[in-house]
Amino acid sequence: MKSLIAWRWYVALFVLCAGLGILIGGVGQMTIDNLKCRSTGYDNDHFLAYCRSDMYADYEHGALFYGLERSAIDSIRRAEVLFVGSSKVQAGFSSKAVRDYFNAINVRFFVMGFGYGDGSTFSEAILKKWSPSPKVLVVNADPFFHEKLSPPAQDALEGRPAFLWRLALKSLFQRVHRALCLVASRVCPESEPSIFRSARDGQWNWIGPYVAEKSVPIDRSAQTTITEEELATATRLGEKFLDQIGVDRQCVILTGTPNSSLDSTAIAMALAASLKTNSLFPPVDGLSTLDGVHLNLASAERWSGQFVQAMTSILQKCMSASMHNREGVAGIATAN
Amino acid sequence: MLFNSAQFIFVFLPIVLSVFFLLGRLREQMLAVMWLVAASLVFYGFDDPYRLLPLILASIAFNFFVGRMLLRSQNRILFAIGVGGNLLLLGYFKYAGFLVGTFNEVTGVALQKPNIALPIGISFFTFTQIAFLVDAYRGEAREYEPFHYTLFVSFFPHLIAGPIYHHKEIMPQFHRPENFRFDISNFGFGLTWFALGLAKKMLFADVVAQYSTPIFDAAAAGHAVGLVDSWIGVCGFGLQLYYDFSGYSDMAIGLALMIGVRLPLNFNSPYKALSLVDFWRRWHMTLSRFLRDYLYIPLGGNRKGPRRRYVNLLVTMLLGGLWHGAAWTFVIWGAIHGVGLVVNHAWNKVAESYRLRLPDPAAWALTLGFVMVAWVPFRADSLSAAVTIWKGMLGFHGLVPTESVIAARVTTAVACIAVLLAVALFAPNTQQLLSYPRVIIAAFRQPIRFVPSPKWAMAAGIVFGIAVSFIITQRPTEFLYFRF
Repeated sequence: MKSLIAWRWYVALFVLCAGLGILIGGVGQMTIDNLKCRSTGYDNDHFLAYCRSDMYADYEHGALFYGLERSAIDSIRRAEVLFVGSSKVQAGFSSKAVRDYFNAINVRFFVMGFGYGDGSTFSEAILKKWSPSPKVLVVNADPFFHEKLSPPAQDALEGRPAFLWRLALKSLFQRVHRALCLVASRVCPESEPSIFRSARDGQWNWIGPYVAEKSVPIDRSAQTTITEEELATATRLGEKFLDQIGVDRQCVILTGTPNSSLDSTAIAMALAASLKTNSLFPPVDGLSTLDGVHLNLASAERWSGQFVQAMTSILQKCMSASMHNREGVAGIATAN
Repeated sequence: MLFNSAQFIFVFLPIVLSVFFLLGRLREQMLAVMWLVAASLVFYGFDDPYRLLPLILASIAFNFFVGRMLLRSQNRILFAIGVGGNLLLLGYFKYAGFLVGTFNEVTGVALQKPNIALPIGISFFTFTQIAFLVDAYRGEAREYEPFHYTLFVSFFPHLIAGPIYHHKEIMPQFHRPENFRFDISNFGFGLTWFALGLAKKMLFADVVAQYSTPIFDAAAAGHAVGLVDSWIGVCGFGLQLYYDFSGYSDMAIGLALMIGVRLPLNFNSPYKALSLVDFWRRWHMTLSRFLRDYLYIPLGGNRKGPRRRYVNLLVTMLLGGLWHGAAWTFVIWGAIHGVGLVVNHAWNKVAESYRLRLPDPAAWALTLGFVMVAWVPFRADSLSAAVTIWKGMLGFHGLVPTESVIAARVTTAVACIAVLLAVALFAPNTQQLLSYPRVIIAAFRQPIRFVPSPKWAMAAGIVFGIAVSFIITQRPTEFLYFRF
């Protein structure tokens, strides 16, 4: 009898400690593998969205889909201006110019693009889940409306236990990483490129050699466009997407961040005509990219600054109905 | 399905055990046996059911009926048909490509090489059943119920990579009523055994593989491998294989123990061996036993004089090598061990006559060095890759190569190998730690005896949890012996 009780306690304690071991092992592995990630971008507003390492890699797809970054979800829900698109929208609109413009007029915005070339399917899933009600929607439509899902997006939507576990570990790791690198900076080589995302406005903060002042001038001669068939598909998916968001078409702005690979302006313009939305392409010369695709920091500042100035009239029109009591309306007028 | 997968640990095993013990509680022993058979077949056919299940079921049915007939009339022709059928199956799936390839090379003919994927575990379940047929022919087996026989062959803890067991030691256990009732001590004991095996696989074998695999890959790609890298690769692989396979065997033993079934031990600290003969008594013990009982002794063993004994040893080891894989590298590995055993026996005779004795440290170093050098063809993708590694070990490619394969990680690789070797040499093995019943442990003087205490529960639980965290966070890796 004594032996039976001992065995019962043994198995119960074993199971309990196994759970503890899983947690210790998971956080330990995540920490060892990802100490190379940058730690300088953490603050109360920023989380580590991506790090170029085997075990961390992408965090933001899952984090935003499963609401692990609560303040980011709140910001999406409360955003009056929402930017959607791929990493190009992140590179293009993660600028001081955009932040200053909206802060000045007291309008809440969120740049909700995703890396890995994700388009409307994943954004639609996020928007469906968190039901935001933006007054203005800016789409980097080159074409954006497609059904392809990147591996991180697919993992997030499938939500397998192993993926969720890794996601939770990444969330925990950030706390350990930040604290460890603060108290023992020697163990943090800060060697891998990382992207931090603002939970307040979704802007990316790229840290690492990937963005080190690279400047590749935009070469329009190599730009390609999409086929009629792809355009038709994009139109169909765009209709569905915009119907679901429920934003007045007059308050939807399609654009295309300048780059060397795609004629984004022509594509967005054609889509805007089909979807009966606005389109906006601020004419800025001498822009450069990091890699032929994403605007570099200096060009993003210039281009996005022009863009937000140019969207003022649409913003005024679309927000006036709901904002007539707010000082922001006057702000929009002065910002113009 | 892999033992080291979340599916197995969190879904398959709890369901199988729960239903098995529920049926046992309802005194439905036959249903419980049928349930274990069904679970074992699901386990086996999980990744490729349409190919694997017909194969194993056909093999089981063939051997069951031939065995039953042999038990009734010990007919030599029927026996030959039975054994021949098994060898034909193994030959077709495992050796057809190798034979055609060798024929092409020898004759210069260009016959098309058959592209047949090796069904997992075929070597193990075929050998298990050949042993059964031999015993049936000798009149040393009993007539079994079809479901019990199917369970004997397909019992999921042993099915894919052993331990290779004998019907006489397993069948009675499938009839023992107490094994159908949940016993917390069996479960806890089995769980601990399984945990230690999983830790060996996930925390030792897979970790050291990070250092050895790139070195053998580099040799296979035709790169010269330097002295340091070669030794890291070889020692790393020797440890990887030991922890991988003994970890698998421990997991199998633990799983069977959860339902009160005791499988034979497969490893007994082989790297502590003081001679090659001793090594083969400690390494893959159930295969050694099989080769001894069903090949070496029928060939004449040591009963027909020393010369014949040496020939028998060589033949046994060559075939043992070929059993591991259809490639000349395995034949060479078997030949090296065969020659080594012949020399070992000859030395024993000389040493006995002249009262010579190697000091233990020298005997141990010689044995371990020999075994490690012999692992090269076992692991290498080709003979030329094996020669590259051997040359590297002898310093033909320089002491410190200009482009070390694991340049940045040499220190951690050496540290990792040193720690794992120390564990293999100085720590008690699983059966010493857990005091496996009926095992005599002579060599280990101060064993850390297992008792179901809170300290043990915490230590084993945390180790198990950390090993599981590796499974969840990373993709599970196959066991090396699945290839055989």
